[in-house]
Amino acid sequence: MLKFYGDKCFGCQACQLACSAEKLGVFSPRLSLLKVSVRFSKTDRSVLGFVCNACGRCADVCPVEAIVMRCGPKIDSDLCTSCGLCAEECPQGIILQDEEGKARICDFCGGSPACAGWCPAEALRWEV
Amino acid sequence: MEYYQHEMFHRNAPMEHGQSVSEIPSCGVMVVLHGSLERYAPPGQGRRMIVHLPRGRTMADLIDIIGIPRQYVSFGAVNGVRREMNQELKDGDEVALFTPLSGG
Amino acid sequence: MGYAGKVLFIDLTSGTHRTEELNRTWAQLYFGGKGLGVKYFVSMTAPSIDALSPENRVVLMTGPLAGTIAPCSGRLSVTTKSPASGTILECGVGGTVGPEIKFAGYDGIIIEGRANDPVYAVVDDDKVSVHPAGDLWGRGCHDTELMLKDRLGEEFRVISIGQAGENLVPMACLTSELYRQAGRGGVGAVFGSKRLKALCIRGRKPVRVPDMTEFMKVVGELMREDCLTDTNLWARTDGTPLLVEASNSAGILPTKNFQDGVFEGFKTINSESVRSVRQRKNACFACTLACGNYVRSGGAVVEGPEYETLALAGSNCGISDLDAVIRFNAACDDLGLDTISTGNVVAFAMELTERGIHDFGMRFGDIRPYLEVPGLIARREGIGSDLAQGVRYVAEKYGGRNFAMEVKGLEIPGYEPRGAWGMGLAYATSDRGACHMRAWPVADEAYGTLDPFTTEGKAALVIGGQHYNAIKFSLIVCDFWAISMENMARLASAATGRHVTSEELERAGERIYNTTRLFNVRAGFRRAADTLPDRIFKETLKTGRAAGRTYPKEEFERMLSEYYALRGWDEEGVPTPTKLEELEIS
Repeated sequence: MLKFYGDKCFGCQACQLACSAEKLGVFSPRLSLLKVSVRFSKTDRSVLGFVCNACGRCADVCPVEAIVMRCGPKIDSDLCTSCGLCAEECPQGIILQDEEGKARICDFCGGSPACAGWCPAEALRWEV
Repeated sequence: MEYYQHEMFHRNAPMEHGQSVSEIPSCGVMVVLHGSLERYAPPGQGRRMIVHLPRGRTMADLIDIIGIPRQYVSFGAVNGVRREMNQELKDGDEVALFTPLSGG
Repeated sequence: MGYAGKVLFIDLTSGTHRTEELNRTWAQLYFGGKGLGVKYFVSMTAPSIDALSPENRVVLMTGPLAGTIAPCSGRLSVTTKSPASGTILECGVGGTVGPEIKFAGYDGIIIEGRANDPVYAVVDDDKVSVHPAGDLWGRGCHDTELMLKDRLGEEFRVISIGQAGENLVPMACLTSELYRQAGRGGVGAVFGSKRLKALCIRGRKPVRVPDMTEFMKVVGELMREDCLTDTNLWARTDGTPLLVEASNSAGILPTKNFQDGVFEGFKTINSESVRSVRQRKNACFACTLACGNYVRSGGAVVEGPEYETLALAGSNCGISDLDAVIRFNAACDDLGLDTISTGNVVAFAMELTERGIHDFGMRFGDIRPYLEVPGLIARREGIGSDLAQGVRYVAEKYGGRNFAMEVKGLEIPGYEPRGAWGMGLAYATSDRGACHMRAWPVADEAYGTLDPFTTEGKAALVIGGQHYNAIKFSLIVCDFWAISMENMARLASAATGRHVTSEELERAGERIYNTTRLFNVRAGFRRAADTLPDRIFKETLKTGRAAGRTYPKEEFERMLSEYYALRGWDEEGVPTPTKLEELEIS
């Protein structure tokens, strides 16, 4: 499982860059399948992390059963009808849709997630 | 503050024949490992520790005893003042060791 | 590749904007960041202009690494003409604002002209707009940033000025993410003169590199072998406060307006003390080192205090109360003031008071007036109206010229030159007045193995450092990664897709340094300005490693001549036509 430890994270966003590099071959925090958000106010600074916890909600709501849970979610893009329900329902808000509307879902890079591998703070860990 | 007698002491200060441990002329110095040098302290130690040395040992000897590669120590200070590596250490000295530094 | 390929121009006079294709020839010669920003700036701006006139510009420039996963690449370079020194002024700011500009599709943003009324500008990918900032004017950087994020959305990155910038204080800075500054030389006052309160950016475009697999391989190797090592990890464990004890031990910690190099109260403002109030570590975008310390002390929170603040607003003011330094720091960040110059001018006022030259109502170590000064300076009230003008102005008005600690009007940062003679040359020949970020020979002199008390070999050392930093700040790699030139070349190659050698980078560094020098020469600077305050040459330090040693002015002048000769500049410090031609500078 992918675990995020907010107290360790110093907000560099390397995880998000590693994700978009791995999945799309570009650097773009906004196209990554996890979110790290540094929030600051005058009295506090915190880091919120949103990563897939394999809750299976996306698979449950998919009307065409394009998503199956196997360690993490796996999507069959050929079956995906671009309805966007999974993205709407994802409690972490980290499912995106590509230009055609097809869902892009974190699959833990098949068991060796790039995001955790590039985290320099041990804040994002792949715990088996 | 926790105190710690560094195990390396025994390897680096051979006992003379017939001499008991209590008779080895030694001095205790407080070592402060600044920056990432703290990882050369024993686990859980933090960055301060007391190291016992035979008399007459220098700052360079101390660095070897702790086991820090020399290229990672830019300089050391004894009792708050930067000193050369051949500075002889005395009982009760506080030795601060620094990594290379950049920027500002 | 590695570049977005576009530069955005925002004209505040007309409220319009336009984009231009990135000048690829310049990008090859100057790479990005400082080099490219300076090149754009000098190509458009006459050196003789008044820094606070609408003719001045602010060039915000990213580099080929911005937006990528390359560590320590998250900074932004800002170039303008300095209202403090009259030189060219290039500063850096961390956080995420630099990469955000790249994600919005621009390599740089150039701000021109002057608005009639206060405004803020919004760059939302291709959509650029200018809005009235009446409700923000008069507010601090913190309110401004948080209000704009409320208004526009959490995703927007903001860089803003506080009251100091609005009031054209020549030590006003830009603040981003509450605690990160483009600090020195008054770039905040240039924003203020343009009536630009803030710039807000959101970028949603991807950044591309020529070969992602190769890029990730190079970055991964460099991260393991050159970045996350004992040479750099002091930034993670401590951050810059570590330098307090290092400098104090080496006898170069500015103390009581540079009257000494050792501070008896250093233990309460050193890194151990800062760590004791630390809440968490913070990093800029894509940074693996995370030098930032988010601290909470008394009623104040701040990301900091950095070494420069602890030195100039701590020991140099005789202040050993960390809580007071943190409150001073937080106030300066909100008001938009550079803590180096502000700390310096407070220390100078303290010494003038103690010597009976002019009574500013504060002596070394007096916390109450010390905490009031930033507000007075930013609003130019009371003693603040004089102090806001900087150390040079105060000395000219009241006296104390020989201990006015500035070079070309910019106050001296946290390394005492009498304990590192090469550092004196670095201050004297920096392209923006006394600056520690052009060359940092203290690493070898005060903290390393070179003899600090000689001028032998220092000219070459300083030149090497100036070229290294010039190109480093152009690719945009942070100061705190002591990366080798060879590895910088590997990064540059991976980002641009062409084979870049370390020799080429070295030469680009020299080109950049000569380009800034030429601007300054054309603005009227010559050898006479490349000097240090009298105190450095005429007084000795009382305590520490450098105690009792004089730094002879003749030796300094000999070193300066050697420096000019090695650079191919004439005896007045003017780059020769041969040198300029060799470096392809027009």
